[in-house]
Formats: sequence, structure tokens, C-alpha cells
Amino acid sequence: MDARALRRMATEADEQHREAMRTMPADLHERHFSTADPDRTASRRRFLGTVGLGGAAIAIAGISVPVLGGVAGAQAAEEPYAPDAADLQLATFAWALELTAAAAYGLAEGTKVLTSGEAEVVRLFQGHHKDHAAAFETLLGTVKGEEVGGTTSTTAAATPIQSLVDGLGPQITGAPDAASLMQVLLSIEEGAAATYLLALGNLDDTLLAESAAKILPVESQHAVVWSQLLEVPIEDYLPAFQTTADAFDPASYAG
Amino acid sequence: MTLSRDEMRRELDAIKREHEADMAGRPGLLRRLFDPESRVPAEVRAAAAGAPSRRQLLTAGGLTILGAAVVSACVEPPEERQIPVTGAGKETTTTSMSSADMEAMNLTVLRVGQSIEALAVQQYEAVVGAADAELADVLTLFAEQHQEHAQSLSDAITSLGGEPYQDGSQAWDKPNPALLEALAEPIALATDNTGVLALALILENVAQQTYTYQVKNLSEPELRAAAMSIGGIEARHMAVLLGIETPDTPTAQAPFPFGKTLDAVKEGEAVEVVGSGQ
Repeated sequence: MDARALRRMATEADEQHREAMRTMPADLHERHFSTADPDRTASRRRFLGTVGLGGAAIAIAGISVPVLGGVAGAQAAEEPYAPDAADLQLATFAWALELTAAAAYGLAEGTKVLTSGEAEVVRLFQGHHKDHAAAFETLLGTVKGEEVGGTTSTTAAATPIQSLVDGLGPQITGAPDAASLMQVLLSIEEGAAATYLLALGNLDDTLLAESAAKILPVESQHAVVWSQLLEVPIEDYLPAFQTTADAFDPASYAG
Repeated sequence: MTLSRDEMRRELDAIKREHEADMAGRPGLLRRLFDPESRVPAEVRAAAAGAPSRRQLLTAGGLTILGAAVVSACVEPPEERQIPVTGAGKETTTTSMSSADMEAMNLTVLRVGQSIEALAVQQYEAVVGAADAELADVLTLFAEQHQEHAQSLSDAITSLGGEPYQDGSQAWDKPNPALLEALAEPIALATDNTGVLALALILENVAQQTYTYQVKNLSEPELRAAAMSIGGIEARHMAVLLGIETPDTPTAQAPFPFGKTLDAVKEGEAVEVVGSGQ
């Protein structure tokens, strides 16, 4: 591994990353959307069941979000924001999953089994997952519930999925070698990519779907990197189609 | 979030104003920049298209601009209704469309995807002989997968009631002629391993970005998932190719935190540019 090349790439990636982060929130907030189709919403509610995500449970009646753009100054009118509770639950699960992945990478960085080059990848990918979580925070953190008794609730911040952390943590900190550790990270990335595909098939809200569509390719590329470092056969990490087979099922990780 | 809502709103307003100022006058500027007679250096043209400087090859030919023509070529001729895919710079969303328009847009997006897949198959088959063994093996696999993607899109179009758009060179199940024209230079340069790799990176980049971008124009979650079941694989193709381009530098294989859409084949602002400037 050429350390100078790695540093150069990391710097460039960081610059590109900042550029992407600069435009992402504006992109996410520029549009507003129509109400969801009732039949599809009902179907997604059946899919999600009664998922509650630890600190991220959402109970929202009349959801609203400030719609930006078009009006100069900070007096933007409040208009209805389309995501229904089922969409918000799913998006908040993705938010929590990103926090979980970032935490897992943090644990991985603390181990001593990786080469400096592999550790560089860990730091880069952890940064990506933090950025994904931040994007969800920007997007969902503005969603407010209806005022009840003089108090207006907001979407609770997501937290790492504890049961997943409990399962992954010992595998990471106890990994006897780099290959074992990278295998865990690969499983997280494959699971994340599959989860976003699962979400895309269920999210009704266009803005949330766009967000998932911008993150899925990145998790997919993460999976390729770990697969190649592990020298996994190409047919194992390059199927013709992304599937949901490895997805983290929201219902299984309900808090 | 540590920012208050007011602070965030001001920040986002500032970003939006900056973006609008950047975009103002782009069509005229781009017409000049992409005029073959203008002698504007390729690096400048790439930068004007918003290309990351490190990957200038990815935007050779101004894919963002010509992409509009690709979409146009995949839209059935308007009969009783007009699909808002050739407007003057406004983003198209499904929110203001009738059900019939949304169905038409769904078909258009799928056809765009199919035309890109067909182009990838055609080009990989044409240039694989100029690649070294490692790249040739990869491109052979990619071509097979792009063929599968094309077939799945064809099936989806048929299942949605779409009919083949038979209009000579603009047949939607053929490599899109506008994109083919846009890629004339990198295709001409794909005579050795470096040129083939550059072409492959362009093809995979535009494919992945198009699927990501077009998610917003698909009205059904199932269609969005179908599109990204392919788009995610194009992203993997990119990572594999970037690994070949810069071996032993894994961070270069997944450099961005979010999938970009700058080089996507998209509807909108550039139709006029394509029509009058190319």
C-alpha cells in the first residue's frame, strides 16, 4: 500500500465529500411532495408492523415541515410534508442503521488487526455512514408533530440499533485477524445495501426514496472494496441485480 | 442537530441562492463551451459541467448536456398528451402529473435505462478485444449483466403496457443514438487498455447516475426498487473499474458519501443546447 497515494486519495475524497454534503441538504429540502396513495400506505404499514426503534419511535398526527426556497428571508411558509408514519419509521430505521454502522466502524478502528491502509478505508467509510446519518437527521429532524397541550413534539433522534450493536460488537472487538474483522464489515455493507433496496420498494415519499437511491450505490461500493480486500470471488459480490436477501429487517430489530 | 431551525433555514437559503446563481445563464455558456468550434479545452468543458477534476474522462463529451437528447429519444411521440420532459430548466417531478402522465413517464424512464444498457452491451462487445486479460474478463461479465438488465427493463416495459417505439434509429431497445454520439470521442479512443477502461468508466458512471436521478420520476416504489436493483450494480461495476484504474488504493473505489447525479441522463434544460449547438 502506497501511504502517500492513500493520503492523497483521502484528501480528494474528503473534498468531494464536502462538496456533496454542501449540496445534499439543499437538494433534500428544495421540494415538497404530494400525499401518499392510501392503498400503498396500508400495504407498507402491514410490512412494517408495529416497529418501534428504541429512542426513534415516531407518533405523528399532522406532520409539517418548512418548505424552503422561493421566498426570500427566513419567513418560509409551513406546508404539509407528505411522509406518513410508515415512511418515517422506515427512514428512521435507516438513520439508526447508519448510526449503527458508524459505531461498528468506530469499534473496528480501535482494533489492532488492520493494516494502515485498511484502517484508512475504515475511517473513510465511517465518515460516509456518519454523513448518511447526518442527512437523515437534517431531513427528519425538521418533522414536527401536531401541537398538543401547548407542546409540539419533534421526531426523536435515532440511536444505534442496540440489538445489532450487541451482536456485532463482540465480533469486531474479538476479531482475531483482519480477515475476520473485514468479513463483519462486509456483512454490514451488504446488509445496508439490501436494506436500502427494501426501503425503496416500500417508501412512498419521493424525497426519502431519492435519499435511499443516493446512499444505496455507496453501500454497494463499500461492499466491493471489502470483498476485494478479502479476495472474495467476483461472482459473490457482483450479482446481476441487487437483492433484498441480506437486508436488515426493521421488524426484527424493533426496540 | 445543533443548528436551530432558523439557522438551518438561513443556511439552506444561502446554499440555494448560491446554486441558482451558479446555474443562471448556464445554457448559453454551455452552448459555447460545447461548441466543437469554440476550442475550449476539454478540461474547462469538464469543469463547467461540474465534473470532479480527477475524473475528467467521466464527463468527456458533456454527458450531462447531451443526456437530455437521450431522454427525448426514448419518449414516444406525443399524441393526446404531452409529457413534461423537455421543459426549460425546471425539475420534473411526478407530483403535478396526471396518472396517465405518470405512467408515460415510468415507461420513458425504463426506456432510457434500456437504451443505456443496450449501449453498454454494444460497446463492451466492440472494445473488449483491445483490453488486457484482466479488464477483458471484467467487461465480458459486465456485458452479460447489462444484457440481463436490458431484458428485465424490456419485461417491465411490456408488463406496464408499453409498446416498442419503432422509429428507425430511435428504437428504444437499441443503443441510444444521442448518447452514442456524445461518446464518439471516448469510443474512438478505446483502442487500448487505457482507452477501454476510460470508456467503461463513462458508461458505468452515466448508467448508475441515471438510475439514481430517475428514481424521483418513477411513481411506484416497486419501479424505484427495480431501477436501483440495477443502479446499485452499476455502482459496483464502477468500484471494480476504479480498482483496476488505481490498484492498491481501495479508498479510490468508493470516494463519495452519496451517489451523484450530475452526469445522469436527464430531462430538461439542455434540449435546446443539443438541438442548436451540436
